[in-house]
This record gives sequence, C-alpha cells and structure tokens, in this order.
Amino acid sequence: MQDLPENARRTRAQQAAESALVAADVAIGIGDGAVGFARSVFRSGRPLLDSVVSPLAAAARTAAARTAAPVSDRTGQEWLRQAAARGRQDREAVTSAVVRLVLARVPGLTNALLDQLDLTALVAERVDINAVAAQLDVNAIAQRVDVIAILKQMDPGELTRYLVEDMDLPAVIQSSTGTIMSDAVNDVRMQSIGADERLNRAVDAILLRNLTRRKAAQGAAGSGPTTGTGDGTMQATT
Amino acid sequence: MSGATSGLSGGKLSVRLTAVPPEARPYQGQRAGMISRLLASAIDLVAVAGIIGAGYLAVSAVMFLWSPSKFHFPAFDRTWLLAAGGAVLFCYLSAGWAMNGRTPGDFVLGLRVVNYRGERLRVTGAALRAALCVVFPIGILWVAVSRANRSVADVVLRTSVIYAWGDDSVLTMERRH
Repeated sequence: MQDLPENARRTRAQQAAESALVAADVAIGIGDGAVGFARSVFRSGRPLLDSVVSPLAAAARTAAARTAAPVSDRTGQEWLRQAAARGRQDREAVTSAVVRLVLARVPGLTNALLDQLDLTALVAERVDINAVAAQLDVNAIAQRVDVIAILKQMDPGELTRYLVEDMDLPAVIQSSTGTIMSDAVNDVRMQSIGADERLNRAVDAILLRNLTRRKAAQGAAGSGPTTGTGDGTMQATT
Repeated sequence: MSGATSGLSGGKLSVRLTAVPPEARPYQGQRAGMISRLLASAIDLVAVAGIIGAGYLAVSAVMFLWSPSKFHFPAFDRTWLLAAGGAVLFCYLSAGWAMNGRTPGDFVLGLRVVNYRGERLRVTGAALRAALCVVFPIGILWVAVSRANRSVADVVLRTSVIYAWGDDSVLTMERRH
C-alpha cells in the first residue's frame, strides 16, 4: 500500500467514502419506508384494524416468503436503488434543516457567548501581539493614511509651541549651526595641513633633501621624543 | 565624522573615540608645519591685540570717569606698547599651553603643544616657552627648515607642536589589562 501513488490512495479513499454514503442512504431509505408504513397503519385507525390485520398478516407472510425465498437480483437492486434515493432525499432534507436551524441560532448564540467573555483580556493573555504586528505591512497602512486630513485638524499655534518648547527647536538649530561651524573649521585645518606639506616639499626641494619631510617627521617622531598614535595623542618612546 | 582607535600602552588598553575626520587621522600626532603654526600665531596675535585694545579702552574709561573735564585719550610710546604687548602675550601663551595645551589660535588650527613625553606642558615649561616665543618670535621660521618641523623654542625646550584635532571630544576608557 505504501508503494501506491498518492492519487491512487485518494481515489480508493473517496470510493470507500462514497460507498459508505450510499450504504447510509440505503439504510435511511429503508428506515423511512418502515416509518411510512407504520404511519399508514396507524392512520387507518382502530375501526379498520381488523380489516388491516389480515392484510398485514398477508403482507408479513409475503415478506417472510420473500425473505425466505430467494429474490431475483434485478428486483433486489431496484428496491435498493429506491431505498437509496429516498434515503438521500431524507438526508439532504435533514441536513438543510439542521443548517438552517444552526444559521438561525448562531448569531444569537455568538453574541451571548461574546457577552460572557472578556475578549481584551483573552487576547492579551493568549495572542502574541508582537508576532501579529511583525506580519503587518506598515508601509501599506501608511499609504492609506490621509496625512493632509490629519494636519488640517491640527492647531498650527499648538504645533508651533510644541516644536519650540517641547522639541527645543532653538537647541536643534544651535546644534546644526555648530556642526556647520565644525565643518568650516575642519576645512581650514585640512587646508593648512595641505599648505604645510606643500611648503615642506618646496623647502626640501630647495635644500636638495632626498628624504621627504613627512618621512623625516615620522622618523623623528618615532625615534625621537614622541610618536603619534593617529588620533591626536602622543605616546612616549623614550 | 567619528572613529575609534585602540592601543596597548603601559599595561592599559586604551580605547579612544574621536571626532576626527578620516582624511585627517593620518596626520594626528605628527608635528605641525609652519603654515599652520603661523596661522595659529596670527590668530593669537589678533586676540592679544584685542586684549590690549580692550585694556586701553578700560584705562581710558577710568581716566574719563576720574576727570571728565580734563580727559584725553592716553598716549603710550612704542616701548610701553611693546612691553605691554609682550607681557600680555606671555601671559596669554603661558596660560593657554599650561592649562589646555593649546592657545585659542592653536585650537582653531587643531594644534597642541606637548613636551618630550607627549604630555601637556607644566607651568614652568609653558612659561619658558612663552618667554622664548615673545623674545625670539622669529624662531618659528626654523620650522620650515627643520626636518622634524621644530622651531627654535621646540629645539631648546624639547617641545613639539602637533596636529591634534579631536582631543577635546575624546572619550577615553581605560581598563587594566
């Protein structure tokens, strides 16, 4: 069985389910016939009992004879098909009635059930909000937000006060200005370093020095009193 | 605009966060050239001139308040001015090098004056260097000739003027290794 492909196994399972359904329909149909028969008997009433007893007996005898005697296959199959048809109709009718009943009662039952539950506490206790939030597409949500409408509802005066007082806008501007000043100072420093190097190269060329100034300065710094660490600090080497 | 360097010295692991731009980091700790030092000195001279001017105005204000009817701006001869300028410059340089290792002009150009150990000058060393610079200011021109970018004052007192941009914003963490 394990060697069978998936489709074959599914087909066999479907066939088995359908056979069971047909068998159930047959059983329901037979039961339905029996109930109908009993109902007709009781409908006839007591005054007809005597006249019915004998046909019943005759029918019983006939049925017993049919049961005892072998029936033909064709007759038996026809009877089973009719029973199955009746059973299917009954089953479908019962199913639809149950579905209608459930659908009619579900809203009320659901409301009554929800009224008894503290959904907020339930969600907080059993739902991993972070995991749910991680699956949210925040950008898509943000695109649906009407920012202009929100801004129109805001008070410009209040917004200005918030920017100036709570966010300390003057400090932000001062910090930005400080950064600009720092950049300007760095530019001046770099240009002065470049000018230093150009002057050193010119003097070295005039004095016919083979060793460039920078190497000499590094060598002097390395073998002399101090050495640079690259970050503005000096380490003693003597 | 920030960087981190670390080094092991004297059994201590030193981690330093600096605000020095990457292009300037190779120069940090090297002896500065003459242009940078002259620019820093020029700024310092302007500052000293401002101090002298402010002092002159202060003296004039006192004289005016003392005798408004006979007030006239005081006239100082050149000797007095040179002496006052030298004294102010001496105090200015000494205080800057002893307290911060740098004068305001050095700060603008990112320079620092250190002794032969690479440390900030003591008061005596700062005063001696300031006196030499005031008395023999032309000695700074030796920087252009010196292979090690040292002025006459540096050679005499074994000091150095180095590029040191980020020391004011350095965060130093040290732990025993």
